Amino acid sequence: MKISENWLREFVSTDLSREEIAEELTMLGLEVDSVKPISRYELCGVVWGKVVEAMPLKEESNLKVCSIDLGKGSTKTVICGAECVPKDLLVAYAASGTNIVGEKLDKKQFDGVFSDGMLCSREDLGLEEHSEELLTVRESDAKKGDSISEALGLPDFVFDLDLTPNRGDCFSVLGVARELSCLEGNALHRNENEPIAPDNNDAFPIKIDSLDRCPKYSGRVIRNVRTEAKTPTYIRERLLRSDVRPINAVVDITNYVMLEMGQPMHAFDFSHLTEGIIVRAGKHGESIKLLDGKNIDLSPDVLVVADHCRPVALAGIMGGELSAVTEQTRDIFLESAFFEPTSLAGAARSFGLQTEASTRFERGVDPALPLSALERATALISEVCGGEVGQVCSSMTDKEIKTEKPVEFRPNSVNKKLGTNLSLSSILKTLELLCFDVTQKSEMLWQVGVPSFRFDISNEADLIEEIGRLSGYDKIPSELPKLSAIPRPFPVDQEMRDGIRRALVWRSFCEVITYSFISREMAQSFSDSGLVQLTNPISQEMAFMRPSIVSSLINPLRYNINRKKDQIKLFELGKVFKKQGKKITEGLHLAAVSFGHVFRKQWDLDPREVDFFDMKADMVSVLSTVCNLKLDFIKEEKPGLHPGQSAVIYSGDTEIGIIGAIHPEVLNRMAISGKVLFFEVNLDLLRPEGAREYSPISRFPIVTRDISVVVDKSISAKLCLSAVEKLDLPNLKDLQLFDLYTGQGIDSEKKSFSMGLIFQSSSSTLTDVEVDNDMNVILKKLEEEVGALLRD
Amino acid sequence: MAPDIDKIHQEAMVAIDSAASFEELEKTRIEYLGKKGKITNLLKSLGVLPAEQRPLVGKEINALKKEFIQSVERRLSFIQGESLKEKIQAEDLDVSLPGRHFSRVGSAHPITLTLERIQSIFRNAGFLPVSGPEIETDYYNFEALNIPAHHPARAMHDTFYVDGGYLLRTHTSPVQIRWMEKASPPIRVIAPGRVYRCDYDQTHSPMFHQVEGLLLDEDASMSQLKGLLDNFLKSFFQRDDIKIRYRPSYFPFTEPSMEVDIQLKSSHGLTDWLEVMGCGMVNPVVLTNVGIDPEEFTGFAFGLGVERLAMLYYGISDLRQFFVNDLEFIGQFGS
Repeated sequence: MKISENWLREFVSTDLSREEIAEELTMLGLEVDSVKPISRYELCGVVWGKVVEAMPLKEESNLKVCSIDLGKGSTKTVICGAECVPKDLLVAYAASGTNIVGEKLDKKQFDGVFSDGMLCSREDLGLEEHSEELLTVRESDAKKGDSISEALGLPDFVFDLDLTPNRGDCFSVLGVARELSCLEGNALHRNENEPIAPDNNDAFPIKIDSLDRCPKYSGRVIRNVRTEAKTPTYIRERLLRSDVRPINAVVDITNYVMLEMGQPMHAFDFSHLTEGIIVRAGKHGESIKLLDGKNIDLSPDVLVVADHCRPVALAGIMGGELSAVTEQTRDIFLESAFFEPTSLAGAARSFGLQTEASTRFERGVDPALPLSALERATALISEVCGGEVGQVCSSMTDKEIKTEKPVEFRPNSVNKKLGTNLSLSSILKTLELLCFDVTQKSEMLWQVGVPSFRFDISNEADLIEEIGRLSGYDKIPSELPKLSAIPRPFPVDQEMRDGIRRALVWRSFCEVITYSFISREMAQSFSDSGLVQLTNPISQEMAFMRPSIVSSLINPLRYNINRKKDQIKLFELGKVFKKQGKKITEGLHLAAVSFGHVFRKQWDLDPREVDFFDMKADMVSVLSTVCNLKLDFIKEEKPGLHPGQSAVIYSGDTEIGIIGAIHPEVLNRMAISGKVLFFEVNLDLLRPEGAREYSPISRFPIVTRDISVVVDKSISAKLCLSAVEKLDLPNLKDLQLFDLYTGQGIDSEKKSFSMGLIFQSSSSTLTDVEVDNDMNVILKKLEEEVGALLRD
Repeated sequence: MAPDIDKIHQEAMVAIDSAASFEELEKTRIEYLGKKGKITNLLKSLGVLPAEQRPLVGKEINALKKEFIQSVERRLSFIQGESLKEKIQAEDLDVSLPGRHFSRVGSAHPITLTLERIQSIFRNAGFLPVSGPEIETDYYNFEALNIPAHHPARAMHDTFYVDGGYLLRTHTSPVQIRWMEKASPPIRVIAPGRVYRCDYDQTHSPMFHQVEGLLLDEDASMSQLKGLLDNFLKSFFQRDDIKIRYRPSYFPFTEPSMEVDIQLKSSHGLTDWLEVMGCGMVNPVVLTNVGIDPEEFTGFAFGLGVERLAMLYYGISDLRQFFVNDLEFIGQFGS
């Protein structure tokens, strides 16, 4: 909310400077985002003048030669390009030689006619970003020849306040002034809005059907209003300073009263109201065209103000177009009501209608305001537009309107919760400054009545906050909490994540963080079912929650490929999402991609493109740093994967992830050329082990043997190795496959595996005979299981 | 005889000193000490000498043999030394050539590094890291935190919804609800994680990271909250001259609520006040919602934006950089 400094100072006397006011308001919880001058320029040389005559410079020219009366017999001739040069108003005039907008104004010549100075728009004077109309005032608001500053209320500054939603009471000049007055105990100057005696008996029946949503509704008829009257300059200027667009005198006045007091009001064209006002729920099938031209379909959730024929306004949000007050309107009906905050909050948002009125009603408007605001607006309208004032008509609930009960308050809880040392008397003084009504039932228990304008005080904590905020949070001492929480080990899953991250970084991988939402196409590239869709995505590119991390890694991969990186290794740790029936499950996954060179081009290594086995080694070593799992790699077709170069990773019977090359067709679609290897592992399935158990080290020597066997090409390495492992020989310490050979000397349907075996006993030195026996058993088993024969 | 010995002695010494390699030296050794070697022959010829000359000549020849052997050994170690020198010369390297990288150290994301820094500071203060789901229910994200439907505070949370009536959590605060439901006080936890808001422009990212902290104890107070956060901010920015300001604010789940602003010293003097954290005493309504008696326990909670702190710490000016994942960017922050 923006308010003018001069306006604020009318309501509270303070010796504080502008900067101090901003600082104090901020430290009271009304954050001042900025303090800006109305114009960055000195405007003292600009005065009011009256256009006596305006003639076109020549035929078909937009320029006019204007004769300007500056009072005291001074007249100037000015060439002006404005479309409309009003003769019934005073116009801002800058003489040649004066400085405006930081530049000296020179005499200029147009077609042989000298222009002595210029007529100024708000834009010319730096008062507004864009405006073409000339800056004018009513003749009654200023005198010819006077500096424009006085009538415009300059110099002035605007405070831009970022109000929190609990402080509906501060959405007005009065409210902000009240906060400031609490701080110093200074007097608040209110307008005393004496009831205005009606000129006649005009009345308009008001009926409230939804008393729970609208406990109070008042209004009055004013006839023969000169709606075409020009809004007084000070009102217009203050509206502009609060970013409210002037419309016509009546609407401007209702907006002015709202900004000043905080009570949103509405004026209807009375000729379009039939029989009486009914405040009721909307009905299915009803609709209303609003002031902004939008058509809204109504339902019982929406509270409306209706006459006996149709809804005429969305209660507390916006009026209807049909009954809008225009310059043709003669008779008006002025509304000033109290709507319950909950009655319209949902509606305003669901229609995308956040208006000045709804913002205030949602946060709570003082129920004591409607009548005095009605009197204030009536007085201003009579003064500006004339008219015959009718009677105040009201309808209200017979229950108490605000049901905020007095709060039970233990004053000693203040120091306990804030950690301060405030005296009871200073606590009492603070509450009274803030207009709370304190009854001391005992020293330890007070009963605190809440002023009608506060909607955010319902318990003791709320009052403690009030005292804390007014005495200043900076004054609260700073001390450390006592250590009373129980020591616990660092969570293992987090330790595992940190370990994995470090291991990947040490193996050349760079961590990325990508959005959890991706496009449908990307999601479906690696997953065939259970996609979780956003109902209100920012764009189609971000419409689905990712089912796998690899699908999120394609974009950063492509980005870095386009940046001409020749070795790209990326990984991400994060959640993936899947719909299972109605439930949504989340899993913590790790995925990595690798593209380009295995190692960067260097002077002593030949570059080579990364392949499946590089990725497999990366994955196995990274996982082995955090847990000791025996992994199996089994070929299975999965969406998005190269069928010949990918595998499902199993730990026992559990599928923990996938590894392999991304399908060339997917890469084509993503416009990536080259090979991309990846793996993705579900970390929730990895249980990091506790302490690993120690196994004693044998002190007897090891014996090594290497063998090469020939098998059919279809026999996998795993089949060979597991044949030997199945024997479970007690002295076989280690078994490694170290060579694969095909080609010369071997049948073209066969291949040769070479294996290194290490034997060691825990109880004696092995003899050659013992090792030979084991070797014979192994060779026999290999022959039986996989048809392996020793290679000669 | 004697001239023979002298001659052989002279020749032998010349031959030894001129041997340039092991092979040449060995050849010389055989030439003199082999089965038919010159010194061997001298010894053999002793027999033909008259008996009275034998001891004297024998002694001379033996002295020659001894000297010969010693000279060969000396020459041998000289040749060894020379050949080692040559070998070492041949092994000379240009040590300024780059090391051989089978893999280079990669890098962690600056957000992760920042999260780790934040967590390690709170770990030292006894806070346990906990986590919760990113797809939440309305109850945990709003209701339980004292933000009922139609509460104006909901306007500050532009919420993403997913089918089935769920939503993407707009803050990490639901984790405190879930933790309070299952743990009993005293409680000290922090909840780091991703959060989502439906807002995307130069200064807003639809996904960002928060760390939520919660302490619940018999006598938790605002002054303790200030003490903790003062120390956290000084540790995080690694400087004691940081200025800290606590300003009243509003969050439905804390009462009183504060916002924490800091001023940092830069080369141009002090910065403006920069908003870095939100915090407050846990609202009794929230404690009641999770079945904890607010008369028995009080608590405080705080929340911070990780991107915000990372930007201030590293001097990054564009929030969107974090999610472009340019290797040139990510590689700058170490691991």
